[in-house]
Amino acid sequence: MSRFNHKPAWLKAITDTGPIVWGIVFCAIWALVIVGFALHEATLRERDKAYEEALDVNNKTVLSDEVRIRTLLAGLDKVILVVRKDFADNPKMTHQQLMDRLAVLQLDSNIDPHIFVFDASGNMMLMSSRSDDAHSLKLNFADREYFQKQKTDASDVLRVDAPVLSRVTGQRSVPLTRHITNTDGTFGGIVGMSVNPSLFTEPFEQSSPGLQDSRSIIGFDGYTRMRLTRGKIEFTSDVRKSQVFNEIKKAKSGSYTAIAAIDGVKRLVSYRVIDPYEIIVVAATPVSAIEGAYANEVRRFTLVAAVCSVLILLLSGLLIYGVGRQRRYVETQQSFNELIEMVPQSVFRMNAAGKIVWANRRTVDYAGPSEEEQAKGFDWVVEAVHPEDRGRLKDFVIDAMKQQITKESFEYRKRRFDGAYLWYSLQVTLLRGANGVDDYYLTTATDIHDRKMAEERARVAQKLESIGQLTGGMAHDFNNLLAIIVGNLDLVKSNVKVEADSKRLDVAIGAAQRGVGLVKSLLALASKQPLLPVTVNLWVLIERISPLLSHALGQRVNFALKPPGDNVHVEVDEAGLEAVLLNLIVNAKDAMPKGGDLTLGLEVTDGMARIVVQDTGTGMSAAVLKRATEPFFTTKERGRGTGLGLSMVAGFAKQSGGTMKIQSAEGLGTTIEIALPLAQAANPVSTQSKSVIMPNQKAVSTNKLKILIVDDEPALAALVRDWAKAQGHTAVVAHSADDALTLLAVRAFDVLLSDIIMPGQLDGISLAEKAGVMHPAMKILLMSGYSRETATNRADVPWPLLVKPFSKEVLETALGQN
Amino acid sequence: MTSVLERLSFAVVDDEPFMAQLVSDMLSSADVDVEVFPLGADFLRSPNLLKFKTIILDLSLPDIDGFDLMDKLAADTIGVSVLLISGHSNATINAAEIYGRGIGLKMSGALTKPFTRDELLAALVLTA
Repeated sequence: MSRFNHKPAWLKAITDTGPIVWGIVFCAIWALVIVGFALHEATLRERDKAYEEALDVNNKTVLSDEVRIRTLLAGLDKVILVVRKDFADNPKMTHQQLMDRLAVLQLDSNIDPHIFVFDASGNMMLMSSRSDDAHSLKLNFADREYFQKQKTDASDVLRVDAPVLSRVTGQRSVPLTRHITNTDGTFGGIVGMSVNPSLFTEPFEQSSPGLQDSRSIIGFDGYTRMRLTRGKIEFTSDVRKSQVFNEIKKAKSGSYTAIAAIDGVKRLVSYRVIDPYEIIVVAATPVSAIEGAYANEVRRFTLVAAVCSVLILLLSGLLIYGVGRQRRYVETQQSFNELIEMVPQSVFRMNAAGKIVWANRRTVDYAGPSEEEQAKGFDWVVEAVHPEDRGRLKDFVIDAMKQQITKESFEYRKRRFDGAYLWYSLQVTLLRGANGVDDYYLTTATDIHDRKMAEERARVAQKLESIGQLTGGMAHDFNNLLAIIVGNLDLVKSNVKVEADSKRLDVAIGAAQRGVGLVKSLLALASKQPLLPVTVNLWVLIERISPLLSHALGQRVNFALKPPGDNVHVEVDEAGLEAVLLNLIVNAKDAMPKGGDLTLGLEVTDGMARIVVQDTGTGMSAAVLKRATEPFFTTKERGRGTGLGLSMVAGFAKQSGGTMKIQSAEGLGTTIEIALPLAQAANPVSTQSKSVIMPNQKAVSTNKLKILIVDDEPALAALVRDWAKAQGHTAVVAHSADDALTLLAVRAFDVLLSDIIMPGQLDGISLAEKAGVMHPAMKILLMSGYSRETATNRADVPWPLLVKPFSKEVLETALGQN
Repeated sequence: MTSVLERLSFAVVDDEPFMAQLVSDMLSSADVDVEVFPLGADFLRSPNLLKFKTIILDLSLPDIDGFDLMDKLAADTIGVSVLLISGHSNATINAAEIYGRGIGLKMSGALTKPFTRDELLAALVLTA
């Protein structure tokens, strides 16, 4: 991820996480749709339920009203029928007779009916409520609507008419009437009863079930007998325009919704016609109340749905954010892990109890635990520590944990996969967990084997140096002794006449010669010469040091040489190559502890000289082979190997423009091939290392100088030498820079006077540079037939230049200057 | 047989008596005169100095360095030729040979000890 990406975190979270986020968004949308649908469905269901409940309440109300009214009217009608019969039987019926009859009928005391009888003209003839002479009242009721209706209505049914104010009691009462039919069929008046409307209204007032707000009893005449609306009772209201009259034409009972003509309120209405009394009972619930009831439910549902939606959105947002965070966390974790895996250190993690819970790949690769060990956790990390260091290491770690600090620089040895112990430096760092509980320790082990080995090598090198100095001195004496032995034996041999004695002498001479070879090899090893590639006859070199090699191999190993068919010349540093061969031989010997065969061969293929060293030793495993040329990698026990051998060999081969190849398998021996490029031309051949033995340096008087003159022109060089000699100096001529270097290596001079342009690899400038390093106090003069710039191609050469031809005096002046 | 006057004369300068004797013995087969000097100073003081055809010179002498001895020969322009012998490595003896030639001496070569009689005679262009 680019660090120039300035998207806000939440947007990054969405855009970075792709399919998962779109999945979450998809799910959230679906969840919202489902919530919406559920809300819609619930709303409809609640509405239907509210209407059904209201309707049910209305229906039950009108049904119970009908039953109650029928029972009431049937009882009262019976009384009216008895009185009518009595009156027909006895037209002169008295008040007392009426009261007796009523007493016999045992009417409910609550009813307190007022029985009355009118004649055909509407005059009151009898009246239960007044014992005094009814006639005397002279009351006429012909104007009463119920009277008029009975007069015209032929059917013999009980009429229940609209309540009226009583002319007798002044009270509002409901008239229940039947007409009297004379024997000739003519109208003979009416028998009736005034009852308190409360008989009808009482249950109305007692309850108004549910959301119902209106109940009424309506006559077919279009007027209510009574109507109860929101606790208020009315009588004889005009409801002729009511929808109910249309409805009763269709069915005797039912329900409908309509706007009431009387008050303009829309209601759900149930009705029942009570036959034959021509009245209708009605119960009504305002639609607004029903809607209100379910609207409450709907509001509740909507609230729940809204909360659900918000929760869904929040959850989705959190999920998306979380997914983004998780992804970035995983990415961070991954890059962290990659980093940990890449570092060259061995890194592992310890919990607060000091148990190792994780280790990086390098740790695993290094220690190379078996699968069995790995399966048991990380105990192998501890077990790889050298037993001698384990106790100290434990103390170190415990100390770091106790003090809760970072501790470092604990040096200990750790076992590698091949069993070798290498030096490591340990650092323990406390890392605080997020909540103070998950603290853990990050432990880093750094390879310090190189440093340790370097320290050890420095000690060894010092020892070697003194041995080298000793060797140089001793070799000379040994050579003298050997020379005497060989020479004398040689002389004796020429005088010996006995064959057997001659052979013995040959053996003695041979042995002495081998001694000579050994001494030469020792001198080569002790050499401190810088690397100087020279053209070498390779096989001559190999033969020369083979006594030393044979000696190094010991008697258990059969040493065989495989010479090339022809001379093989390469350009190589002799001392280096000798050391390389000795290294390989020592390795081979160590690989053959019980003896074996070693073949040292030389061949030429593909324009390369190939030195092949083949042993029949233990060979290397693939894992060891892979690391064989790593510096400081050694399989030898401590103190025996530096781990530098093969790495030095490989480095030498590469430096010399060649290659090194190893072929090996466990139990099958090792073959190492060093390929070196052939020399361009087999020129001056040296087959000896240049052992440096500095001769005594004597103080030279200032006016008598030792001068080294370097010029490829012999005549000129001789002339300059003669001039120098004439001036009292000692002058030596070298005809090439190489010869000059050879002399400078063994001899100190006060002045170097060198030509600049000479044949060969070194010119005067390079020679002067080298000579200046070898003998810093030496005065250096250059001479040339060209101008300074032409001769040197550079203006910064620090040495004085004598331009040829120059005179004796110029030389004298130049030598005289300090 | 050549006359006494015509006999060639050689000087062996080596502090190691066995070595000096050995070289002397090797040369005796070639029918030449040999005089042995254990020290450089002895040789330089020798009255026969100008008589010697070749000096067989060991590079390491107790009293004078082989290089310095050659310096003296060159300085005095003594026409003797020099054959170097040494127990040192070739590098040193090669350098000494170049040096001798560089200061104008006639050089007969350089031999690394040990050497055989044949090698010695070949270097001195003598026959047994």
